[in-house]
Amino acid sequence: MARLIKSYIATALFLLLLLSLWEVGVHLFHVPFYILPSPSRILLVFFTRLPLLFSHGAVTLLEVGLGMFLGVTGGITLALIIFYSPFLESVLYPFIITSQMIPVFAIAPLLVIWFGYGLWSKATVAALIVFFPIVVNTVDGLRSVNSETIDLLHSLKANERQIFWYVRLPASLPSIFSGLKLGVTLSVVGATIGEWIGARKGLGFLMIQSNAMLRIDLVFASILTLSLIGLLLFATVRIIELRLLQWRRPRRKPKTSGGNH
Amino acid sequence: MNNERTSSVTVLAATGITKSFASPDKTIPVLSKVSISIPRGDWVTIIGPSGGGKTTLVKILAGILIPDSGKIIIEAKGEDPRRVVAYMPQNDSLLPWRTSLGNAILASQIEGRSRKEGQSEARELFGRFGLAGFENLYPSELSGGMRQRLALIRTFLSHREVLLLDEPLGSLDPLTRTTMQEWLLLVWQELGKSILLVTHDVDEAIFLSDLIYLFSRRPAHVRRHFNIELPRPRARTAQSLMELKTKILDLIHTETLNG
Ligand SMILES: Nc1ncnc2c1ncn2[C@@H]1O[C@H](COP(=O)(O)OP(=O)(O)O)[C@@H](O)[C@H]1O
Ligand SMILES: [Mg+2]
Repeated sequence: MARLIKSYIATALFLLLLLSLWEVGVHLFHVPFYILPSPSRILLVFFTRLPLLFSHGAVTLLEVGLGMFLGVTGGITLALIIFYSPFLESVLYPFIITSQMIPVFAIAPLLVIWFGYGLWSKATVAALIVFFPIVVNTVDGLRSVNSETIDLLHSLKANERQIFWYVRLPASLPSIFSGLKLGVTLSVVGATIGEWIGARKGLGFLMIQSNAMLRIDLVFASILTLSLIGLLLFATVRIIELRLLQWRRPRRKPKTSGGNH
Repeated sequence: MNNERTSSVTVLAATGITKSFASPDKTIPVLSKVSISIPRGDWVTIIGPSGGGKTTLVKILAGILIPDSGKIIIEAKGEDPRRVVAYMPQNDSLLPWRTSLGNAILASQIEGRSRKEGQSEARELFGRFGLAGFENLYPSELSGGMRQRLALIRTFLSHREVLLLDEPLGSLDPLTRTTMQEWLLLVWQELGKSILLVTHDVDEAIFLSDLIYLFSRRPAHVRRHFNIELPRPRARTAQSLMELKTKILDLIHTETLNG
């Protein structure tokens, strides 16, 4: 614990150092704020324009949240279909793997055309981004189950439903969560890009607008808000993960005596 | 403690079991006309070379694998014949995401019995198995010996009449191992189960069993069987046990030499 706090302090100090260099540099070289605003100016704008940032941020958060929900439920559903049906797997899996080669960001403009300027086009971008890592990781997780464990459950006359809830699902949670943590940060980027392409609200939209008006300080304040949203979502996923996967963090070291496992 | 052999009514038997596995280029015969029988209330042990097919036979007895030919006979005393046999796999197969208690009640949960009932029953066995106080730890937080005991508790709590234990003490150091053998013996005598043990440890087999089957190399068949009438608790160094040990080791040896 003490070591953890120490490393946090070190990180914070390093961040502070970088920000100070930035601040001093901007003042020293008289960089105009429409090129690179100083951190203090960004913070000032952040706090004075908080209501504006908040209202745009809420839209982006909603898009990401909806997208993640769709991507995760869809991804897990498809993973289950693939896992339980070898036929559908042989049909679908090659598509899923190759479709991962298509960068979702590149088809974002199409999505905006198909789903409009509103919530749904961005939610779709976010959903597609989360979808693939979730499908692949969930399938991996479901497959990771040891066959001896399944034999044991069969010998206890467990049915498939029980085997799923008692064994397969818990066994695949760790890899589902690694997919989720990968997806959550990317989906914020995805929604933002969707907003750049076409939107009426949202932090991406605010960035484009501010950029056009040379309000670079507001662009930075938007980026700061986006980072906070990303952080918030990541922390939420992490907290749920820690709660559900308590068993992966032993609280107590196994005794070495009395066995050699 | 009662050591009387209650009866010689067979509770579980395998007759003429043959099984082979198909690998890409050929089929591997693993069991060749194996016949064994487990008298009700007795301790029966299988010894045999590793890779010989012991686990395969146990899985067939547990209903996990289907034999190519041969018959499994279960003498169920009125209960569902599919619920006569409990199986403890060669590795402990504990679920890492469940606490010790959660692992112990697995069978009762699968059968849809009340959680409370299952838990209180489990707690009692935790005490008897020297695991009291460890109910809420995860398997990764337990030592090897504790994990084995937990897997045994789980097996006992399935309330089956016949316990198939596949090298249950395999991963333990010799000291823990002998202690666990005594433990098992006590629990077996108290709970009145029939046990089929698989081991490659001749000492373990003769210390524990009423009946020993010596398996051949793959494809396995029964080479010999030995009845041990000696009362329990047995002295590990008793003359008759040592003679039997020599006999069994000699038999194992001749097979190795004539390979
Ligand atoms: N599912 C399987 N598929 C193919 N071969 C198997 C399978 N299970 C076991 N075998 C083979 O059968 C033989 C006997 O295995 P096993 O019953 O585990 O032996 P033992 O328990 O006596 O060590 C081994 O050679 C093993 O490779
Ligand atoms: Mg084996």
